[in-house]
Amino acid sequence: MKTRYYILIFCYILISCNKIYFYPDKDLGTVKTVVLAHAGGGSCIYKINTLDAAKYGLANMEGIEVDVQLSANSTVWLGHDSNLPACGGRSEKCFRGTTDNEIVQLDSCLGPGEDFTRLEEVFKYMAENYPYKYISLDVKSWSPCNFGDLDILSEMNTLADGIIKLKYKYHLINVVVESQTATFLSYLNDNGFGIECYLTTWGDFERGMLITLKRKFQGISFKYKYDEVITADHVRMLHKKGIKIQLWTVDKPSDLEEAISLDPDFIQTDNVGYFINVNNR
Amino acid sequence: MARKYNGLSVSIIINVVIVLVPLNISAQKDSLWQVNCGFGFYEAFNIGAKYNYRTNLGMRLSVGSQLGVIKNQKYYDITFEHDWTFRKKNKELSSWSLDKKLVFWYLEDKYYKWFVLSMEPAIGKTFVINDKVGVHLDAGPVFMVVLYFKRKTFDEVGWPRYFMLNASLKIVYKL
Repeated sequence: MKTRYYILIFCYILISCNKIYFYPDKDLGTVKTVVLAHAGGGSCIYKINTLDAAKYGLANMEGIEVDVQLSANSTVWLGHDSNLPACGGRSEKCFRGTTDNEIVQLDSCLGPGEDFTRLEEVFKYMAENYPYKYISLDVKSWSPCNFGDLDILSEMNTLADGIIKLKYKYHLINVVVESQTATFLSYLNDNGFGIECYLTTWGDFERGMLITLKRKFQGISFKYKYDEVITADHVRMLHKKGIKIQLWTVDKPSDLEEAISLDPDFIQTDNVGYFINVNNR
Repeated sequence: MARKYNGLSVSIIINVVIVLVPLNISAQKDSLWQVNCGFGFYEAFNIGAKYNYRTNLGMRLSVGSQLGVIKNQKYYDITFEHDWTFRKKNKELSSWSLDKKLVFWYLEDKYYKWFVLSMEPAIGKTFVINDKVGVHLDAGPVFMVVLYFKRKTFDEVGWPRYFMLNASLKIVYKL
């Protein structure tokens, strides 16, 4: 008789365990959507990812988004591509394999149309003029350019250290980093107190959300209208679980209106003019 | 409308199984076949059969269901098991064994539909009750692979646990 009760207890314990883990709620409450100028100043007259573009974006929007790269001196520069263009006798070369001096020389060689900017210049400008505005740093997946760069994690952590150092040096409050590389974001999350980490996803909503929850990032950076449709229900669910969302890059006025109606935390746009017109009305 | 089972009915089912199985049914004494019924965390309430194709090696196939014990949840599974038994004679029931299990399970609740593969290496022990009947207990770590899922609502976010400990208990009847 006793054995049977043990068997029943054994069955009950097994049944009461849940095979599915449900993440706890951490409601974010009311959300105010912040609109960021993509690549510094959106599609303005200035070249993307430059100080001039950033100044334009900061003057007209609530914040900016810029792409960053790392030089051979481990300095963080603004730049979208991992390769620097050819000029004069110099062939195309990757950012990580180029020293700061070489980047300055290349800048001169390419003429007034080009302008390479250190992230520090943007941080300094923001600290002096717009300390409460937002800056979102887009860190692309690492592309090694020689054998020395094959330790991707170590290379990306060097970039993370550079961002953390600048954040603390200029006491910027609203620094956000977005990347597809979860291990890099985890390092930043553990070491860069106050920096918000967003996992970049090219439309795979569920995967992005689950990795973000598991790794305790602050949000996801979601490519708008690319693969999966995102609805207000998706955004509400993220907020219920304590996750923020950036939508990129939303440009058409109809898309912007629709995106704003979803209540995301950030929208990145190249259409800065749309918001200038809205504000002037 | 789906039939609901409560704790009492489960208790009755288990007790009936425990009482009825030891009844002697005439069969070949050294058959290579066994039938089983029991309960496991991932196997749920299950019935199946085992064929010993070598003295020490056997394969078991079981199907299981939660029988509605957990409300608002459907659960079905099919388990493939391969056992390596430490025994000298095929007709011996009592033994330790090393079991490798593949459990394909389907779970549907109000938030999701899941189809998952659980892989488990387990250590088992069969206790003899009489010549034909034994109780097989096994336990081991389980690793999950989600084969398919579908969200039904936007109310919850969940995922099958990547790793769990599984335990199961079977009553085996040697044919």
